[in-house]
Amino acid sequence: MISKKTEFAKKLIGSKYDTTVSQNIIESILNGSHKLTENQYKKQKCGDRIIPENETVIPSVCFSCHSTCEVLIYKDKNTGEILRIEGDPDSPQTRGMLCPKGLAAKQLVYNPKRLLKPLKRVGKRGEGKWQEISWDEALDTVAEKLKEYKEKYGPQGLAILEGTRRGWSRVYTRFANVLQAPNHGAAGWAQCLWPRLIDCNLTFGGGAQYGEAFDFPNTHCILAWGVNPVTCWGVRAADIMLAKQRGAALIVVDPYFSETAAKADIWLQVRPDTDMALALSFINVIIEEGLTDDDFIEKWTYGYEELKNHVKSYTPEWASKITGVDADLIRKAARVYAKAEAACVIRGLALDQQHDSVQVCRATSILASITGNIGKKGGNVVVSSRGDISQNTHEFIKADFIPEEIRKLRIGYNEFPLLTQELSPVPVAHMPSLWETIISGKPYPIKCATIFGSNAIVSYTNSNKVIEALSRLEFIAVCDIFMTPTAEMADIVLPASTWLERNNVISSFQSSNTYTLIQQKAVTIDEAKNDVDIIIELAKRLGLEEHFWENSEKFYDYLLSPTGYTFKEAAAKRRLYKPLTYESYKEKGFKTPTGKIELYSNLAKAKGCDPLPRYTPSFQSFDSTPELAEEYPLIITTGRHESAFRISENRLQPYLLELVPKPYLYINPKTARRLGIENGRKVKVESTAGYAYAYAYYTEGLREDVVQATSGWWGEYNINKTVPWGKYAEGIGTVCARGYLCRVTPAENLGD
Amino acid sequence: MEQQGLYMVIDIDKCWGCKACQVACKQEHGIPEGSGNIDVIRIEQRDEYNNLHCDYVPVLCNHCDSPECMEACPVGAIYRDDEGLVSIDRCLCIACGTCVEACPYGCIHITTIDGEEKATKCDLCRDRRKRNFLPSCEQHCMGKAYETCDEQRMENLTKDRYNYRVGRIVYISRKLIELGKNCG
Repeated sequence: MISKKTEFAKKLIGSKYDTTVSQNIIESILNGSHKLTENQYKKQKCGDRIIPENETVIPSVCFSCHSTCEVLIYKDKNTGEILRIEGDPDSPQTRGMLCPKGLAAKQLVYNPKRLLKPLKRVGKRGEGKWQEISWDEALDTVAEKLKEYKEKYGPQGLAILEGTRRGWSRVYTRFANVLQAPNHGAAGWAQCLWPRLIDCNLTFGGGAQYGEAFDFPNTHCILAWGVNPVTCWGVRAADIMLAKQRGAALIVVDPYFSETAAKADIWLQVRPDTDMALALSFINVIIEEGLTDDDFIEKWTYGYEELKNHVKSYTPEWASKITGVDADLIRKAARVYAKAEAACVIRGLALDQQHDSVQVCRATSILASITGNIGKKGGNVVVSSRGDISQNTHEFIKADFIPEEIRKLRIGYNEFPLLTQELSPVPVAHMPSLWETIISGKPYPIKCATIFGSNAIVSYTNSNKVIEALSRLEFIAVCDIFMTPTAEMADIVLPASTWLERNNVISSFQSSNTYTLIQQKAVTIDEAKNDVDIIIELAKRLGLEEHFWENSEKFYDYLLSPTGYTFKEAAAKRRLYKPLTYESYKEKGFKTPTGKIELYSNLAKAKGCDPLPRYTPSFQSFDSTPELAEEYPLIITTGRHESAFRISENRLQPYLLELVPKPYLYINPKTARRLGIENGRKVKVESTAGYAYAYAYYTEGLREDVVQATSGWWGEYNINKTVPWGKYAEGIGTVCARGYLCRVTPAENLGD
Repeated sequence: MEQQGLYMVIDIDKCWGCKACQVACKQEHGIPEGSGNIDVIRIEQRDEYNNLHCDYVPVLCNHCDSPECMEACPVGAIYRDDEGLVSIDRCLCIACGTCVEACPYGCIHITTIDGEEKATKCDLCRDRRKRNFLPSCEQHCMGKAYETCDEQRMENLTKDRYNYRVGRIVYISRKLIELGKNCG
C-alpha cells in the first residue's frame, strides 16, 4: 500500500523536468563563459542560542565515520546523562549539519547490548558462555598469550588485526611493529583508501595526497568518481551542494543512480569494475582534443610522451563497448572536466575495490595532472599540517622497527609489494593470504590473533573462509563495543568505549582541509576503555612501554606538543587552523624519483607493476569468463552504502535500523520480473564463493545486467560471503568486490 | 525566531536524501522508533523523454491554510497558534486518530512521548526556536534544503522558481515544472 506521504510526494513533483539550469552550466563551461556565483550560504541570524538551565554542553567531534563532524553534546547537569547529540551550528567545518549516524549516537552509547566488562570464555569456542573478569586479568592473559605464541612460533605466528580507524589505529600499528609482528592487517586498507594513497605515493610522491583533498569552495567542476558522499562522507556532500549552488558542474561516475548521481549534471553509468576503460578514454579525449595544460605538463610531469602513445587506442568508442557508457557522453564529460577553469576529482571506495585498484586510481590522478588541476585553486590540493604530529608516517608507526628478515616473512611480501613494503602508508600483510595461511599452516603456523575494532567475520570478503580461519586459531582476543559474531569466537573480549567516551586529536584530510579538530570525552560508561589505553596497557605488560606514553591523555598532549598547546588548551580553542596553500609544489617539487608528477611511474615499474595504467578485463565478467557467465549471469557490486550505517555498524540503533530495516539487493525491475522476483521478496544471491540472502529492491537506477548489495549485514545476509578470492589486484592484492558474477533466485524460505 | 507569518521553504533540488532530518526530528521530540513527523520520500521515475530522474521529497505537516485535521478533531485539540502554525494541544488530545485519518498528507501520527500517547506532528520545533535555535531538521540538513523564514523572504525565495504551498510549508525547485500542479 502506498502511504499518503508517498502519494503526496508523487503528486507534488509531477513528471516533467526542466533541465535548463544544468544545461546552462555545461554549455557555459564548454564555451568558456562559466562563472561562479558568490557563496549563497548565509548563516541565519538567530540571536544568542539559549541552553536550558539544567543542561551543559560538551563540544566534541562525532567519530561515527571518518568525516568526523563537529558536534555539541547536551548533558543533564545533575545526572550527567547525555540528552541529545547535535551538529554544531558554529562549526566552520560542518555549518551545523550532522548525518543520521551522529544524530542517533545516544542509542550507541547507552545501547543495552553494549559490552561493559572484560569477559573470559568459559564454554566451548563460540558457545556463548562467558565469565566477567577484571581488566588486569584480561590484559595479563592477552599479554601472556602474545608472549607464549611469539616464543613458540616466532613473531610471524601472531596476527595483529584491526578494523576501522577511530583515532587509535596507528597506535595499534605501532604496537604491532614494536612487537616485531609482521602480520598486521585490516579488513580495509587493500580494500579501502590504500589504493588511493599508494597511487598518490607513486604519482605525486612522498605522501602528497593530492587525490584526497578538494577545494570545493573554488571549483568549477566536481568529478565524483565511484563515491556517494551523501551516505558515507556527509561533510563532503554538504560541501558539494554548496558548490552546486555556486554553479559548479557535477559529473558522477556510478553504476547506480545514487543520491549523488541523481543530482549530477552528467551521470556516467559505468558497468561495475570497468572504470579503468572510462578513465583511459577520458585521457584519450583530453589529449586528442588538445585540452591539456601543456605548460603544467612540461614543467611538472614526467612521461607525458609515453602516456600519449599509450592511450591512443583507448578511444571513447572502444570504452563505450566495455563500460556501457555512450561514447558521445564520455566525450562531453571529459571536455567539461578539462575545460572547467578549475576542476577537482573526488574518489571513493568503488575505485579501491576494483580488480585494478591502484592502477585505476592512478588513471584518475593522471587525468587531474594533465589538466593542471593539481595544487590549483579549485582543484585537487594537499592539506598542510596544522603543526600537530602526524600519525600517518612510517616514523610514527615505527615501521622500521621490524628487522628486515622478519619483515620479509610478512604474508604477501613478495607478491604484493605495494601493500606490504615501504610504498604502503602502513606496510601490512595481505589479508586473504593471511587467512589462508591460518587455515593451511603454510608457510608457517599462525595460532594467535588480537582483533581490535573489527567484526572480521562480516567485514572481510569471502567470509566463509574467514570463519574457518578463526575456528583454527588457538587464542583470539577481540576488543569491540558489541558482542559481534567475531567477538563470539573469542577467548577474551575487551569492552571498548565509543567516541562519546574519549578524547582525541583529529587531523585528517577526510574531516577538513584546514582544521585539526578536538574530540572531547562526554561520559564514562562502566568499564569500557579507550583502545589507546588498552594498547598502552598491553605494551606495558610486554615490556614495550618505552615506545608509548603513560596513557591516552599523555598521548594527545604529545600529538599537540609542537603546537605549544596541551590537549586541554587545544580543547578550549576547539580547533587549530591553517589555510590551504596552493601550488606548494613550486617550492618543494614532488618527492618522486624524477621530482615531477610521474605519469609514467618509475616506482611502480621497480615493483614489477605497470608503469602506465593499462586496461585489463575483470577477473569475472561476461567477456573474460563467458562459461562462468552462463551459470552466473549477473554482475554484482557490493558497493551500496546507506546513510544509516557505517559498514557493519549501527544495526543495533533503532533510529538507524528503521531507516533501512532490511538488507536490500538493488535490482532492475525488468531483471527481477524475468527471474520471478517481486519487489521486496527475499532472494538468494550465489557466486563461486558462496551465497547470501537479501530482499529485492526495485530500481531503474541499475542496468539490467547489474545488481547491487550492501555489505555489513550479519549472518545469512552477509553479502561478503559471495565475494570470491583467488585473483587479486596487481601489486596490492585488492579483492574485487565491485564487479563479479552472481546468480539471483527467489529464496527457498521467505524469512521475516 | 518566534514570529507571526512563519514559513518553511523546502528546496527539493537541495535535498540529498540522507534522512538526517528524520533522525534529528525524532531526537528533538523524543519520538520513539516507528512513525515520525517527517519522512523523506524517494521518487524515481522516467520523464517523457525516457530520462531517469530521482528526487527526494521531505514530507511533513504542511500547516495548511484550511487544515482538515482541525475540522475533524472531535475535541477541538487542533488550533492555529500565534505564529500561524497548526498546533495540537496535547492536554486536550484524546488520541482518537480522527486527525490521522483526516490529514491528506499522512503527516499526523499517534505516538507515545514521555509516556503519553497522543496525536503528534511537526511544530517547526517551536521550543527550539524560542531558544534561538533553528528547527532541528533545518540545522542538520546536509544540503541546506530547509529554511524557516518570514513572508517576505519566502516570497523572495519562491520568485523565479517553480513553487507550491497549501500552507506554511513552501516547496520550491528550479527543475520540477509541474511542482504542485497535480495536487488539486
